[in-house]
Amino acid sequence: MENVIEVENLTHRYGKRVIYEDLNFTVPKEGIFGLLGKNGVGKTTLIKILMGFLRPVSGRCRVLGEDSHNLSPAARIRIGLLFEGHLAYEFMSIAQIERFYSSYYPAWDRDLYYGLVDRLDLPHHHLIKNMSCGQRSQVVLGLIFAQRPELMILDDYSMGLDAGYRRLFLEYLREYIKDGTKTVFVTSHIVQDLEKLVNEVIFLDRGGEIMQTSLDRFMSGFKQFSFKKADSKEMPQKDDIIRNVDNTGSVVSVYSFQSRETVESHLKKQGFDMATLDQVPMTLEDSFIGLTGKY
Amino acid sequence: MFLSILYKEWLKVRLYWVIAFLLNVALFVYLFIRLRHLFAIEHDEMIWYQAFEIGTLHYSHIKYLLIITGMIIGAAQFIPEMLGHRFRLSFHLPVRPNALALWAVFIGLFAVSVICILDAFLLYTIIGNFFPSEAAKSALLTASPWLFAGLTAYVGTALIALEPQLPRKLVYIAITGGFVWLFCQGSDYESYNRALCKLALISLLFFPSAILPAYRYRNRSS
Repeated sequence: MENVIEVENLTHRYGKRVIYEDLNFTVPKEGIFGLLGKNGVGKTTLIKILMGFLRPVSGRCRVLGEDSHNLSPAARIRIGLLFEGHLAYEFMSIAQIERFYSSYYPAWDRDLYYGLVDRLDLPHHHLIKNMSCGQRSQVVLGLIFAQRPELMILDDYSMGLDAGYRRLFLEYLREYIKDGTKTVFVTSHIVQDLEKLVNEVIFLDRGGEIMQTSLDRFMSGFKQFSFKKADSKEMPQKDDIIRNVDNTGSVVSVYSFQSRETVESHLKKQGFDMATLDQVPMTLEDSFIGLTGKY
Repeated sequence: MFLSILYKEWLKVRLYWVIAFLLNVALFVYLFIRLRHLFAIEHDEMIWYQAFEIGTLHYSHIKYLLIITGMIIGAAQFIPEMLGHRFRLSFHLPVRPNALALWAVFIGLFAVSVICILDAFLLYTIIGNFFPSEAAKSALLTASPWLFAGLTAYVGTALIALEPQLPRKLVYIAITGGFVWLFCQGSDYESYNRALCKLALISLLFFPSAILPAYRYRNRSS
């Protein structure tokens, strides 16, 4: 299958701080891919590198088959990019920004833009600098949809959006990918939104450790088990079987990709009482926190 | 593409351009009123003596006008691009980055040049209204370095605003300041006649240099 994004042996550092070391992944054409990771793991940095706004220390990134640091105008026409913080030309009005962008994109859909933006109930001469963060996001997302790009890269699209508009946006996004030719690469702080949206997830950890899997495989394979701990202060340790450990009061939660039987026998060997062991159903957000930890 | 870039740049600078335009017109109106007053209260021989024997420049107050104009237009055009790294928005447009940077600077330079031409016209007309035409031509030659100082100040401001790193910003401030200073040294009539062409050619090199901070912006690693 054709890849729209290819990252090979990517290494990047800020000073002495390593962001990624030898990062590799690909995003195939078609579908919605979620990039998940805690604050500071380098999600935005990765998008900056993919879009050619930052030169990595080493490695290679290709977007739509072109070197990401040298994307041609023809490739950029095919990429809709949402910058973190819903960056926009704030000196423009709703109508001016539409007029400006429409001249660059041959497949521009004016109705789609105004379909989203008119829900703000603002006059078209309203300046973007006088909008709230959420209103600005609606304008910026409207511009990206109107562009009708083949590849949409959305860096934290949910920032500043209220619940209603977030849902509306997701409906538009589903409609947008319905023809089966589009690809969306998305990061978001609202992990539960992605549960209903993405086909595949890429978990990015500090230092550039990565896990790429389909959402279904991850949700069915990654499990949470809880049990009541005896008085001893000892806790299970992370190892090849136990991916993460958390405890609230006397209840211990362990997270693992292994089966219940494997986890149970593993913890028994460590001397834990498994009489109260139970599997806990998880949402994507629970799984994300289980995988990466709360802090 | 050009029209679209022109539209964006115009939206950014239009208010400041109008302010700069009115400021320039106001100072030339002041020059006209001042000369009219001078001719009303002084004998013509005395004014001639002051201007052409002592070398008094009656229009020296416009010396720094175009420098200020250039700085205003440059700042209005490029500071909004750099706030919150909005320059990235421009670089994601389907346009070659170097072409984008050069067109933007060209448009700003054109905006400053229109005011330069207006100033030259007003200076020639006002001086020609009170003095012989030779004096009006001389005023143009005398003020020419100030016009080039304004254009240099504009491109220098663009360079300084676009440059992502502070140490280099300081270097650009020093180079721009040096050039502008060089254009403002003479205080006599036509004192740059022999050097103006060479200085103007050197200052033209500022124009393509706008590619440099734009390139550095896209190639930074932090």
